[in-house]
Amino acid sequence: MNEPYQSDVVFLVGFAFAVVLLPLVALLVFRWVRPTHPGALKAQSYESGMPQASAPRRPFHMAYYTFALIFIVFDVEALLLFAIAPVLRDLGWSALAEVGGFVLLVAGGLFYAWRKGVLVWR
Amino acid sequence: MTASDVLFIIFGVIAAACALYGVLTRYLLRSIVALGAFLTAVAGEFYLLAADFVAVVQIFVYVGGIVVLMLFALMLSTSGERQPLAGSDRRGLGSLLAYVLGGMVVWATVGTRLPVVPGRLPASVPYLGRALLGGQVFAFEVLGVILLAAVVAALALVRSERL
Amino acid sequence: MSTVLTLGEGFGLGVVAFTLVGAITTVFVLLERRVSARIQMRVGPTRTGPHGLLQTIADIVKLLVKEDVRPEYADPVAFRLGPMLTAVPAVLSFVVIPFGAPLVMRALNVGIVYFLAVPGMTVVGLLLAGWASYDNYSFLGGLRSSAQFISYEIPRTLAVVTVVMLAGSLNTVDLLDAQKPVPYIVLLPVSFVIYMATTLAEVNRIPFDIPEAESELVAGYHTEYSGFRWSLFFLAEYGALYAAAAFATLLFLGGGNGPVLPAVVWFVGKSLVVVFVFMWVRWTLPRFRADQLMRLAWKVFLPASLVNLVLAAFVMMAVGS
Repeated sequence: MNEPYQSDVVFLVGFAFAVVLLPLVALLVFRWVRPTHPGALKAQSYESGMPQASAPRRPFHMAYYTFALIFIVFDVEALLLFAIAPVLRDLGWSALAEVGGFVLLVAGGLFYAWRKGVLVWR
Repeated sequence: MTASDVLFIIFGVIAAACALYGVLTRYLLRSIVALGAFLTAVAGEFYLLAADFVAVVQIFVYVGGIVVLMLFALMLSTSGERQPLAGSDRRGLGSLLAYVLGGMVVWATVGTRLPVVPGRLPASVPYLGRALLGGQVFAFEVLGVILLAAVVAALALVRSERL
Repeated sequence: MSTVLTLGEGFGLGVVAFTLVGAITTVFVLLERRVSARIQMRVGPTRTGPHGLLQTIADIVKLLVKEDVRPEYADPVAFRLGPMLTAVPAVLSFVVIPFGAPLVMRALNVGIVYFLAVPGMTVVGLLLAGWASYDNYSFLGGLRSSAQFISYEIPRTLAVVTVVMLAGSLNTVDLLDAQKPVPYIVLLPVSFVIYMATTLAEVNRIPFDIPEAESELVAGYHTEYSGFRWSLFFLAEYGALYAAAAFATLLFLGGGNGPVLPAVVWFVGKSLVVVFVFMWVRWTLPRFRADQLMRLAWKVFLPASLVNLVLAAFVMMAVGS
């Protein structure tokens, strides 16, 4: 009953396993070839040759977070559209109206964010 | 026990292990990554249950979106260094509650006889699409409204922080 | 028993795919250097091997034996996971690409969404890499890169939705048949433009490469990486580039469709043309500022893709009946 899905998963597991394994193997194998001379200077972060000017990991702008939030909402909307897109053609004008309504709501959200001045970077 | 069941159990174990690690580790960053791994394992289980579209959506929205959001939140607040496990004065009560709730969940899950869908399952995507535009169209539009509300609410929350 | 076979099949193809991406990166790095050279009226690497063909091989050997420098404060787990999480999804996305009709690794029924979903994990890798390096510049690069990626992901997804509307399926193989008479670039030109532009942003190429801009952030999120780990980032970048080009060929140029020559030849040919266009753009245009970039994504591309979606749906219904 679930064969095609099951075999898809099995395939992907095997595939992913290979893809993850190969770089690890490469890293491991060449470990002996690589020189290892850790030094205080090398361990410092690179800032065009100068000692680090500022301690990293200071708090940064909220903008990143805001965009990520909005992104998630639109992401879900896009996926719902993906669910209906393949069958839209067969379902006629009423379906189109329903989709139109949905898109309008989506666009409303975008419009709202726009007007609130949230879509500005910095 | 079919191969499908074996796979399901494997994914389940992985998911549980990731979840456990995510909760017990002291590093917030690793906790979030563990969450990502957990969600991927769950996506695998969805796929095994013939919900391939949901599985991919899970990856798209949860791993590609929610985990990213959490990472942003973490990185914008300077923590991520070793965090002591949340200390609380009411640890006894907390663990008692946790055991009780956990026990209830396990009992409910194990004890429920879920119906088995007979025959071949319909291909998920056309089925879902037709349902959303057909019988469940109300739910579809309500989803749109909820998402709009989500945008408004999210912005309200975020912008009040600016004060 | 068949399970084990499928597992083996998956594993084998995984090895093939990884090698393929490695080969692609090798070729493209050199290609890029030669193309950019010509556009800038110079020659590019020609010394190593005939016509400089062995240049990247030499580079790879160098990278493999280079010391694995790790900055002092770098979180070891995040530092190691970062490159892997960018490279692995890039290779994983190759699973659903049909290199000419029957030549697909696995024709998932939700292939198209799969292709768009898997690279989403790359963002997590970018953030980890930037953060783990414990360096303001890497960190900033990772953040910007992530913000850029997610901002352009929606318009890109919406452009692909229009294609799915016409094709009626999420299976990548079905797209080949659907475009038998006419490729979708003719039917959905706006979607094509949106897809191409947003893809450039997704792969961090000029004009959208602020996160890697050499004059701005040294090397962005991969500043602190050396040797093989660093090359993983490049594998990810060029792998994703080719995957996106292949996807564009599939979605808009009719994949392997074409007379006389075998489908594989058509497919590879078309996808290479797309790659060439990407490279051409890179070396011709100046880059966008971070704020221009974000503004473009949310105020231009997103509304455009929404309007395009509605219009395309409308036209499709009107013509179809």
